[in-house]
Amino acid sequence: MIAIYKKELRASFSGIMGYALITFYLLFSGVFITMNNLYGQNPAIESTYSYILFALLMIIPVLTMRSLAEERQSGTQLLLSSLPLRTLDYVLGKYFALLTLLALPIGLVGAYTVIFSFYGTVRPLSAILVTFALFLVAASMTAIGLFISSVTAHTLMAAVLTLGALLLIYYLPALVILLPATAVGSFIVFTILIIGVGGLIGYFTKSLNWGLLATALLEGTIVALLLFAPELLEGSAAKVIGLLSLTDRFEIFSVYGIFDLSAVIYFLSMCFLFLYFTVASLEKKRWN
Amino acid sequence: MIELENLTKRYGNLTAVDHLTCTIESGKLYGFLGVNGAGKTTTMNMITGCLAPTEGTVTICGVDLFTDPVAAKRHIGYLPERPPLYPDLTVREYLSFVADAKRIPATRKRREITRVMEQVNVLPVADKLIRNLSKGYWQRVGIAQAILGDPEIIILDEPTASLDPRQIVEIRRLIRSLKGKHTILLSSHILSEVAELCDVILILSGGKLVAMDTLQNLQTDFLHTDLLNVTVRCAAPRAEAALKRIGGIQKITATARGSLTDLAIECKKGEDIREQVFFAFSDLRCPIVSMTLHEASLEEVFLTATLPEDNKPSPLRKAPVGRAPKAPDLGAIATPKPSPLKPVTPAVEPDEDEDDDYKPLFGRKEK
Repeated sequence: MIAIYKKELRASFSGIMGYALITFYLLFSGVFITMNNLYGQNPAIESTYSYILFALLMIIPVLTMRSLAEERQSGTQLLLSSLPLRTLDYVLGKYFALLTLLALPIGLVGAYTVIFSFYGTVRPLSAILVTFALFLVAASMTAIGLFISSVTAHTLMAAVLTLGALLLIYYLPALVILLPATAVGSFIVFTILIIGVGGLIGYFTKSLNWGLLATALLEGTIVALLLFAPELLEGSAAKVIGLLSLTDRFEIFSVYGIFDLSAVIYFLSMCFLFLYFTVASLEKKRWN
Repeated sequence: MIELENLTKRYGNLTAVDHLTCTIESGKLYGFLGVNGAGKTTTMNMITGCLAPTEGTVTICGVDLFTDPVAAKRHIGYLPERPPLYPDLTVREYLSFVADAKRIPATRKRREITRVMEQVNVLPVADKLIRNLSKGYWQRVGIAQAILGDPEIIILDEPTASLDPRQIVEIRRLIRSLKGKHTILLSSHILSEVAELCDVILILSGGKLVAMDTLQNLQTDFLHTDLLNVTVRCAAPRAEAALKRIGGIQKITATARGSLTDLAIECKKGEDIREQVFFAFSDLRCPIVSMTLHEASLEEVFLTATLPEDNKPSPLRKAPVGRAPKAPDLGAIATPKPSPLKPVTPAVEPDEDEDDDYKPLFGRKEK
């Protein structure tokens, strides 16, 4: 794992990519900090993080698109597979290298609080915790991007899909309002979700039967609910999908200034889940 | 050293490798031959753990590759068809990464990297970015990563493909220098290269191992006649009559060319009839203008071995498959062989791709 970690970091900084992404993040956050903190005379950097989060949406797809899809495109996947490394080793090596690359600008911008403390009253613990929460959101998004990179054929495709997925997650709180609140509407939304989940199960288990079985079981439950307890379905689609929102949870930190342990657990769970999917996806390709 | 037991890889209905069983002994250089799609790369990818088989086992130095892959892979160095390089790293950085991944101790690492760079002659470009190097250097750096850490087994997939003639000679010299110290398994489309370098040749056809032996034994086993080309100054019927007295001749083809006659004489494998031919024409006082014994080449062995099953000349004795090569046994049997250099249409197989197994969830696979 350490070998992959060192190599990834070295490769990021031997080209322009690492520097370019850090520069972009610093410039983007600089613009919002100037507007919100300097012109707004507000020493709390936490309040700007909701805007800075958008910079991560741009950076993470570019960072993760290269990590696994490019290995396959360039043929280096064969080297990694033939070296005495476990799949988990190189997924974690890559993941931690990406997190290190993200931690640099996130930490640097977080350190602006030290400068602000000379000119106003800051809450250092709050600033540290919100910076930590931002890093956790970045870590969750990176895990999602890494997974998408492991299932796509091209780097560009990986970038576009990751950007799409992250934008969807970012705007999820606004989008769930549009979801139908009726029992039938929720039933339709759940059916679409179940088909997607069934497809993923079929893909990972390489068995159409398992995919169909999972789809049938979940769909059966939803049909039963629709028939016997439709009141439970009313508005439930919006609630369930709303649970997936990363931004809502981040705002508990950035807007309300509350340290929410359940949100931390949620972010960490997202990281573990998508890293597990990434390893499973790579293993599946070897056994395909 | 390497034991393959019933190794099989299926992609849906297509069987890329079909119950391959063989033993690779240590210290020898093995050459993998086969038409495109015969299963060479798939087999190599399975031996190196890049691809899991549908059935069968691979044992490397006594370790099962699929139950303890990390331990088994420590014995292997692999150069895939396309050198697996990171263009953003320098040669030294790249080899340092491979050394770390192979868990070469820090005390030995620097010395080991310098050793392999010297061995493959890339020291002058050690601190250059790989992207700025020529194809020849890419191949050498690829070989350097394979031999780093001195693994017992080195697997090279078409190591001289798309190199210029000078680079080919250099890479062959390098492979020859590794022989003996390492067990080498290489695949190539260049038959002369395999004939020149390899101790044992494995021929794959349609995913099956159809032959595995030394070149000499394969020549004996697959082709049972030698061809003697003679040009003599006399009429064709007279020449043919003169040769009738010589035993061991199986077929004579005579072609008149002015006052000369070109004779193609097929005789028993290993039976040298040149002296008898000389004296037969000498008795007739017909001067021999030229005489060449055409020994069966690897190309002919390959073409015969990879003939589709229903096109195989009968009775054709197949070489023993999957066992260690036997001692040379020249002049073993006499059975008719197909006409030398007979054009052969190999079985149509889908093109093999190194990443054949990969079916992306999104986007089409790059061809």
